[in-house]
Amino acid sequence: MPTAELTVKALLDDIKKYIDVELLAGEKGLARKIEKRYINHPAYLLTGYNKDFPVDSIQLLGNRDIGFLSNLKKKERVGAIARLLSTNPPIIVISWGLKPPAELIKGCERTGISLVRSSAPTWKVREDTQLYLEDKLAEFTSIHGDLVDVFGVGLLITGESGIGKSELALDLVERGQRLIADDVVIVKRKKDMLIGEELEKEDILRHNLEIRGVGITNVAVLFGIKGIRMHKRIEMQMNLVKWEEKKDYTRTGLEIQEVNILGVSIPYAEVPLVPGKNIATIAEVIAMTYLSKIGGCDFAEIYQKELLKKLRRQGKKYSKLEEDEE
Amino acid sequence: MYEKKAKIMNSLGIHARPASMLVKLASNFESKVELEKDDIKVNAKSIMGVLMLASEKGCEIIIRAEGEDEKEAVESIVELIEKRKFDEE
Repeated sequence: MPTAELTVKALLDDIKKYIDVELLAGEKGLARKIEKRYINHPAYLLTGYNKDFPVDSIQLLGNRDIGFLSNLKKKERVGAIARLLSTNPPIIVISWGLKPPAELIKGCERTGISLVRSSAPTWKVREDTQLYLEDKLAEFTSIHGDLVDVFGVGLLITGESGIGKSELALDLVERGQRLIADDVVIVKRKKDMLIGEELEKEDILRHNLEIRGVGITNVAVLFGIKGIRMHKRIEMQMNLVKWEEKKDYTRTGLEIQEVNILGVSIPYAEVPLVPGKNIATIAEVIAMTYLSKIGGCDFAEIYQKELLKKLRRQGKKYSKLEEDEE
Repeated sequence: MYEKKAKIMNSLGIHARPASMLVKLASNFESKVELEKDDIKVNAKSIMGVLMLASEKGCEIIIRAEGEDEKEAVESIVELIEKRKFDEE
């Protein structure tokens, strides 16, 4: 699965929202791509143990690392820094606003590894950078469909071209639901969650929707801020299909169908289209049934349980009657 | 499955008019047709996706089709993009 591209410069520009950073050396390396999703403490490597050490990942030097380096004799310090640089990190970050050893600055300048300093504590640098990397470098895929927030449930609407996904999305927005994306949904995996968003990133071009016979319409302008959302966790997929006489559609709702997207399973409903059927109402009922199910109230299951009880009661009654008749 | 790369040749890139030409052409085929740019895949029979790819002059996109007339579909879209340049120049 692909991940987005992230350069050192883009990371430094973005991370400024959370922590202050200044570039001390290695300006040459700003265009380099960051590929690893985690950041690392090089403490063991500095002491000389380099087995299984991750290459190409961001290295974070805190109080103890800098303290350890400055306490070393010059020759050993040069060796430790050379070991660190040989793992080819895209960035070396120093926390607490500490002063790096001169050899490190020189080494970074020579190798083009960006050396960055922040006044923030080590834990904060690690946490903020980690969260940022997980978001930016998350695995993603693009899905042909619409994503609508229906009563707080992220409903992914799929189906072949021209079946009426956009029309359904529009219908739902008209009923007070919120559109996230039309036609292309970019899905990112975050832990065991799927987050969907629009492919378009420029605000002015966002939330447009194409309706056959009408053309491009802008949901944000027509329905206002209440009709749109920027991203939403995807909780269910609703697949629209043409009605087929012989096909077996879900009738009771006792068996749950699931679909797997980026390794995450979500409930899946296939809804056949027939003229006169109000598909927006069905979409809302699907979302509400899902909500009630995760709230512990499964209609199909309750019905089945109560029906079995009733059948048992009736069975007893009849056997009693037969006894009386003799 | 059949796929081919195409380079956008017309100076304005794929804006509204070329996009609707492409979608119309793709819709003539039975095969499932998709376009890919920078790891993003969109359905070539649906206009918003084609527009949101924002394919400028000089960029390369992959045209991929799957179905009975896959080869014909890909070749004619490549021709529209590279040879006919969306009838713009």
